[in-house]
Amino acid sequence: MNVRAAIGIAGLVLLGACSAPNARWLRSVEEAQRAADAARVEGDLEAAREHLLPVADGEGVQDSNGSGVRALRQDAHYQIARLALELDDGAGALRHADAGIALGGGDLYEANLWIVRGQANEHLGRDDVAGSDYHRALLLNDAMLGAMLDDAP
Amino acid sequence: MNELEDEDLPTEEELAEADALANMLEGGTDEGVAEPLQEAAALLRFAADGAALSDDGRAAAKTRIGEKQSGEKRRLVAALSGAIAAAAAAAVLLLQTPEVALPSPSLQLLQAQARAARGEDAGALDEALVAHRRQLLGTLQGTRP
Repeated sequence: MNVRAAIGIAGLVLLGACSAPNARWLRSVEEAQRAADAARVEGDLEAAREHLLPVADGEGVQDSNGSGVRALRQDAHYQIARLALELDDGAGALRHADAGIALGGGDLYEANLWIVRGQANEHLGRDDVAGSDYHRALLLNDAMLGAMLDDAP
Repeated sequence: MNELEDEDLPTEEELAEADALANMLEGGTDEGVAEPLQEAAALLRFAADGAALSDDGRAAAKTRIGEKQSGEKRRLVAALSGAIAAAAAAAVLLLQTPEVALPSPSLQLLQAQARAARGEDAGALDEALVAHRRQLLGTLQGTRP
């Protein structure tokens, strides 16, 4: 390793460390959420969906490994899927539910995505698959309720 | 006056010794040169070119010096690289933000989720999620505990 390479590596490491909190990305998420909420209030569901798409895709995120980023992206996928159902776009809703579920986590955010997946499959006339989706959501929900009761004094 | 001039003139023997000495200094043999003069001549010849290095000797010396210098340079580079890497690692440890714990969902939110999973009231889940979403963003931005 020579000095130039060491300086380069050190710079990259420091850059990564400094960007770990994803502060800029979080601000963009907050702005996107605010814009989506305003568009929804105005009845412009397409615009609301457009505002949330970059969040769901994780555009501009520096450190995509954190559970916070995962949760925000899953929540955006959930909202987009819900908007898609309102726009009578069952396939779009299913696509976003699947994309969010693929991020994992096994918590509140994944459970929401199983629910909206069930709704999308219901919308598409696949009630048997929808039942399985709701069941997956209930299993995660039960686990969280159980943990909450265990932690209660 | 003539006697003095005759005494100053070199003798045949002195002239022969001078010729032998000149011959020796020019690279000839030391034949006919007195022993003290031989030593003096040897010193003169050494001073002139005896300490000079041959081409091979000069090259070998350069190689040895180069090896010594590059060894020192390598050690310096290694030390600098190590210092930079150590400084970067220390900075990372100092700057690294620990993973923020996500806010726990409230009982009300989990109950709304359970109802939505049973196909009862999806709208109630959306409403309950508004407050949780705000709390999640605040937690990640460090503005809420």
